[in-house]
Amino acid sequence: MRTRSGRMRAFGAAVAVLSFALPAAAAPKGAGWQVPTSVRKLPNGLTVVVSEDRSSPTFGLCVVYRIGFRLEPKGRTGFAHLFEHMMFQGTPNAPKGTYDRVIEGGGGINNGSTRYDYTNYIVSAPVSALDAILWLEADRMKMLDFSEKNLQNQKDVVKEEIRVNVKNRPYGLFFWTDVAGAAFTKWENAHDGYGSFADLDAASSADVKAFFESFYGPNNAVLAIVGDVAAEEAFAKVEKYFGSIPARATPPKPDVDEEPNSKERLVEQTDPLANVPAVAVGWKLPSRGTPDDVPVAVLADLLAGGEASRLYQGLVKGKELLLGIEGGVNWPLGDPWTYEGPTLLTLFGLYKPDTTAKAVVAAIDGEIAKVARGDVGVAELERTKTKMVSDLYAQLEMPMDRAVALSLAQLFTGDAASVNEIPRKLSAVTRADLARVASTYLAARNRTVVDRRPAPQKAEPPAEAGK
Amino acid sequence: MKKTSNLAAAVALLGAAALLAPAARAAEPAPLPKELPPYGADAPLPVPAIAKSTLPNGLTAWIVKRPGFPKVSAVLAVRGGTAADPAGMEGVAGLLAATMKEGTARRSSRRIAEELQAVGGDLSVAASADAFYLRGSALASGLPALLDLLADVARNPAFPPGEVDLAKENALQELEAQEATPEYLAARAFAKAVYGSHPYHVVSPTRETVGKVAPALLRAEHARRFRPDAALLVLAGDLDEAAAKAAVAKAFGGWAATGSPVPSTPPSPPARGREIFLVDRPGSVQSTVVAGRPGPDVSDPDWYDVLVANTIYADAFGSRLVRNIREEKGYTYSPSGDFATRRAGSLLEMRADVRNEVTAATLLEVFYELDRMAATTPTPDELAGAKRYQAGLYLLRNQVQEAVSGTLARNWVNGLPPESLGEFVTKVNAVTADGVRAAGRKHFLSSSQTVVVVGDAKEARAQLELFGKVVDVNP
Repeated sequence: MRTRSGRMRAFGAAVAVLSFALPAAAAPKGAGWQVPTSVRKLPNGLTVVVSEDRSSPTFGLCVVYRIGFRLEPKGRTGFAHLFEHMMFQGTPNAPKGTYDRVIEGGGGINNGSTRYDYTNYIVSAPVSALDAILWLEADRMKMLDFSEKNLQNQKDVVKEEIRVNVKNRPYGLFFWTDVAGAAFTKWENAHDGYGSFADLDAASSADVKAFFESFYGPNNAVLAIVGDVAAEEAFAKVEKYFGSIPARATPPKPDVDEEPNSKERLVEQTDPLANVPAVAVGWKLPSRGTPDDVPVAVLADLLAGGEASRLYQGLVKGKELLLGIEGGVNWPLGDPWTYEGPTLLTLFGLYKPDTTAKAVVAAIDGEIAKVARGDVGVAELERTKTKMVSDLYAQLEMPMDRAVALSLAQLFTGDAASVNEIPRKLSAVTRADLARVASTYLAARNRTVVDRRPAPQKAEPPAEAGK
Repeated sequence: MKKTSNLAAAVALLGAAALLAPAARAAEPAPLPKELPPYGADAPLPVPAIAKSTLPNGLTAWIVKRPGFPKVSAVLAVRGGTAADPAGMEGVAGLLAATMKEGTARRSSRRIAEELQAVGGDLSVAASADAFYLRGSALASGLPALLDLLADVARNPAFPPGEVDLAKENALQELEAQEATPEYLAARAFAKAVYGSHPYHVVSPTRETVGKVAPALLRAEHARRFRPDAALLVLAGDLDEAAAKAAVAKAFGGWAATGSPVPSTPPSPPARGREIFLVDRPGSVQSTVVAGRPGPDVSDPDWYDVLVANTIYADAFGSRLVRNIREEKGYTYSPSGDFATRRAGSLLEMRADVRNEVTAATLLEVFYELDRMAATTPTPDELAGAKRYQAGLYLLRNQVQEAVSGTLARNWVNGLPPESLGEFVTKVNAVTADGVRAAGRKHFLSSSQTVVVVGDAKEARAQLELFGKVVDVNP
């Protein structure tokens, strides 16, 4: 599993908008750098985003489909992810193996990721391979090789993926699956996106075909190209390779939003593979698009974004309860700019043997209470925002990462250029905003805690029975 | 989730992992689709322009100006990593790295963290086998602050007793936590099996080392290793060269060396021949299989042949081993084949986590693919693809300023001149099919490999015994 980035809003025009690297006023230090974005929608519904960048003779590409764990069929947990694997299993035109052979032989790399709200396919390569790679992406949007043999092969591979990341690993990603499972009520939000082996076994090539028909049409996708190509040239190439793919009917999206929880949820677990206890805490957040989105993101960084953060200084240093702390909005599968929602603000840490999860949660609560009272320094807030802007830029440096960010911004906000608005939105967040979102969302009643302790060591047989 | 590795890291480290392709034992792949557009003409390769200088105190400084992206990256590499740890203090470099930014003569750890955050910055200190790396980044406007902090941490760490005690306590807990993971157990056992008592066997501090650490000892270890004439500073990013040079002189000009430089590491030992080690991890639902051996020194003419051979063998999505044990047989999700270069010799290492019942079947295929590298010549398509893939990775690294500064620093630690970066693709392109096969004979034969398996011994032992004597290693 990898985490990726994305962002937010700005221009509405669905045509070329250019801008570049201008220093700005006010706002956090360094704010003002912008990436160019041009957007066009093909008649078949495929939305195309281009960001020209001539700094290297390469390009990055992301094709994102609006389908993830959340909307996979009931009785088929893990199917969206298994399907992602099937996208690399060849087509009637390009048999299994062709895709990687052409991309790697062209000097490129590729990958795919499945998340709650999307599945994306990413490539980075020398620009000399752009046409060949666009052809391959269009080819697998048209039709796949729905072979039983390849499906069985990828079921085996996915099971090994689940073994290596969950079943054979201490903690087993509980801070993702188990926190979400306990915090959410609706099946769409609560079920395990990796899926059960029984459900994976039950998946058929008919399921693969139906899923492809429903969710993998051009009208359910955004394609972003970033790099050494002019916007008009890129649009023309996309039109050439993707223009003839017909739109496909996509099922309506059910209402997946949830109310905040009214009572704390506590889960205690033992972990036979772990040597050190761990705790994860999640607070439910609504679907994206409220005025609180950006303040909550700042709150998460203020609390746990790096070594200057409150919880690092308070609990890793200070009280010395934790070995470290990680987390954030939409963590660990993404960040504040890459979800549709609902999601969680999650924190995770290994704790010391001489303390308890309860003490850790109480100490976290103490820091949240201070923020909720408005006890946040002006300089503290400013440097938190500055670091967030700097981190955002880092996510836009590599063309492939920028393609991911722009395509997800387009998918979730309808505006790829909204990425350029994030620094301004960050700078507008006030202490009062933080106090409001801390008391609204990070209240104990809306909290889910999973305490995961090493299983007791199996007792050695006593040396002398009966002693 | 097609594969596990973090892409940014993969690009920076050159290790993009593996996936896919056709029937493993087919000699020539099927023809490409007729409609597939051909590759276009290759653009000229960008080669970073490096402004090189040396301060009077011996510090080497390389500055790479990259306008546009509004950040800067700084790497200070200092010779003398874990391989320079004194006998009985194996892994102390890790503790030194963990405590250097926990307070200096001028700043508390908290102040360091806050000043970095204020310029959108990061700073990490890590000890590798051959060197310490202090890696920092910041918004471009924060370059002077970043350099001031970097120099303060490098030159004036104070090792406050409270911070050292906390770092020791945490190091012991982290060791506990790591020992629960198969990858750590495999890495530790493999390094020991391949290197024996050579300093490269160290992968982390031991409990004994942690117990002996104290502020005075850390101060002594710091003074012994951190000296300007054993260090390189690389800056890359949106900077003004003259201003950057002045900031470097201000931050590092007063740094003086003490004592004598850390001695160089003896050459790493040759391959030991096939040995099989088993680390019992009761309850494991997978066997973590590692097979590898020392490879050529970076100055060896074979080095580029081995790089290309390893790409064909296991280090690409379409490599032979990945096609075989993942895409054909479904034994594993995340096979990888690393070729890691160090100053005193390289290391070839494949790894795959496989379900228990296919432990022997996996090893059979690993040995088959290794011996095939020695026994047959790659097809023209495979050779061309592997070379283009490596050239493409060069271009990818060149996209990201931290990858450029990091690669330059690593090359310097390995004893390569700065020009080697720009020569990389030319040398890759000079590799021939015969060279790959010769590299296969010399460095890939299965009879020359050290094998380590971490898994449930009840499941794995009998399967491994099919291949020879199995030596138990205490976890």
